[in-house]
Amino acid sequence: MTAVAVSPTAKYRHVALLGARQTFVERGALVARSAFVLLILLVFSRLWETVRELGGLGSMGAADLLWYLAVTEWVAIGTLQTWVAVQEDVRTGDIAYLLPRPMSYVGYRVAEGLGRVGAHMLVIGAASLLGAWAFSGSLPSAPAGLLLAAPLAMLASAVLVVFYIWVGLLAFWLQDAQPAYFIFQKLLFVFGGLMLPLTIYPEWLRTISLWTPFSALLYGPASLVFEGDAEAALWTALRLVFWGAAAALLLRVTYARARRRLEVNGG
Amino acid sequence: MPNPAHQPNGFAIRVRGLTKVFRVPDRPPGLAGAVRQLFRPKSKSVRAVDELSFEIARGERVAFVGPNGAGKSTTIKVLSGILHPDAGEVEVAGLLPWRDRRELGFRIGTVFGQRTQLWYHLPAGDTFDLLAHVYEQDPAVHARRRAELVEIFGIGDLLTKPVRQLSLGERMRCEIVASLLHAPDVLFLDEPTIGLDVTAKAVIRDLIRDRSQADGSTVLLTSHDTGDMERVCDRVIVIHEGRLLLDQPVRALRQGYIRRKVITLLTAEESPALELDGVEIVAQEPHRTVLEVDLDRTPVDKVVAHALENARLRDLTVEDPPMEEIVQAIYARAANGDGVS
Repeated sequence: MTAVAVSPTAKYRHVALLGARQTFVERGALVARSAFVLLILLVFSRLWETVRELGGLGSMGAADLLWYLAVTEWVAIGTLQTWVAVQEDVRTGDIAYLLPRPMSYVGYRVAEGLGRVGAHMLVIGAASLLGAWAFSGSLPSAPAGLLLAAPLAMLASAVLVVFYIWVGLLAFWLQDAQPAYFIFQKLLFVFGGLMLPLTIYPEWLRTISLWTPFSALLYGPASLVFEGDAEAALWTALRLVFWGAAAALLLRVTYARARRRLEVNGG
Repeated sequence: MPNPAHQPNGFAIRVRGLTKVFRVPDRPPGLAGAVRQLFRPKSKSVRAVDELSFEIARGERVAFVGPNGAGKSTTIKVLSGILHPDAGEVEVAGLLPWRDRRELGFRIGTVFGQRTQLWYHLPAGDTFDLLAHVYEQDPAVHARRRAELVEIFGIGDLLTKPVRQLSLGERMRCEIVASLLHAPDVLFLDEPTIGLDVTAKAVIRDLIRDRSQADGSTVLLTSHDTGDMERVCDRVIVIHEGRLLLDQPVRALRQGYIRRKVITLLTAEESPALELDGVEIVAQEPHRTVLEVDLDRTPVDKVVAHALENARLRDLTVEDPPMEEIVQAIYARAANGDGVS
């Protein structure tokens, strides 16, 4: 075989491109998820309007709340459940096919996830933002923040992909990683502030949430629609980079343990 | 031809005293046992491979067979660098698999009949492009190799169809091409014809054998289908409970253990009268008769000629006895103290 000198990241880049292609091939799923995001935004736009009329929103505007929700849903729904592929590799034994290749298994799945999710995020993002604009009838109170929120939502989604691959690796111990994903998802929704910004949480819960990665993933980018300053965006970016590095480390340690488990318990 | 054993580095695979032990849960039966296991889990050691030794020369095609749980998959996982042995020495393509796993990745190919390496929703051509990057192939070399394999395997029309739309036989041809693109020195095949019809099986077997001859690549094939072993391989290694049971040319195995064939006849007559020494009717329904032929007493061609004389044939298939039956015979002979290897 003739091997040529290539950049170490070239093969992972190609996996990511193929992942993106796969997402665009699954047109039905893209349309269904976009429609689901629009339905959620429609329901909440009416709900927040009613709550506003009852005087229950305090200083928050209904439009800002909807734009906030559009960004959190963009990240939550736009980030596909990439843990499923890892779980299937472990449960079906397909991992034995991928391990002997001259590339990292985890790197392969992360690259595939980033490609698939990146393409998916573009479509879901367009649906979310257009939906928020259509249903609120206005831009958020900090329109410039929206420009900062968009790249940070993409970054948050990338970090979430790494966490999801880690969840998938738990199948080495659990066989079925679904319960682990269920718990992770609920923590993301609660501590991430999926429906409501952390600013309206009780003090103690807000403090706890801000120490978790979940608030960086959802509240961080979404809060920029009403706190649209560059300093807040920089702080969110730094938190995402920190939690991305932590997730990568967690993934590395867990994968090393998973490989040892494969040695002990068989394939 | 010189014996590869006497040539330096003449072996593609060398295994010496390979042993692999796993810990598996030891679950007592019943609800009480399940609760006990929850709080105080117990496990036991299982010796999946037990001091296994064999050598395979470069370019040899070897069937690696045994009943389920014999240790075939574990051995292949050790050979491909996925698992680390507990004892023994293993060398594949001159490399230590678990230490040189990345380098070994460039030298081996794998085809698992019940798995797929092709991206399901995309055309196989996309996976081929990806594999060129994974195996860091020179684009010109990749293009030449790909064009050659696509033509030989007759998959030119399939390359733009999503994999999910391919038949199992078509998909398997694409799977094998995917595994051969980087021209591996050693090809591990696990049940490559499982689920295929008779025609597709024959095509796949011929392609694997011819390609190995053309490339000079080594094939280690595991299968429960006796036909795979007979049509593709020159030599057979049989293992049982992790130990070597038999290692001999396929021809010798055929003469020693495959003493029976199963012939299925579809006839115009409802129940044709077929009486021949060494032939037993084992199943009969209207227009379909299944015969078992004792090859020591009657050759297959004589049975076919007899059937042609006595019935109007619509279809005819000749099958080997299942691999399990052959292994059982080998094991029984070994248990009786007869030399088998």
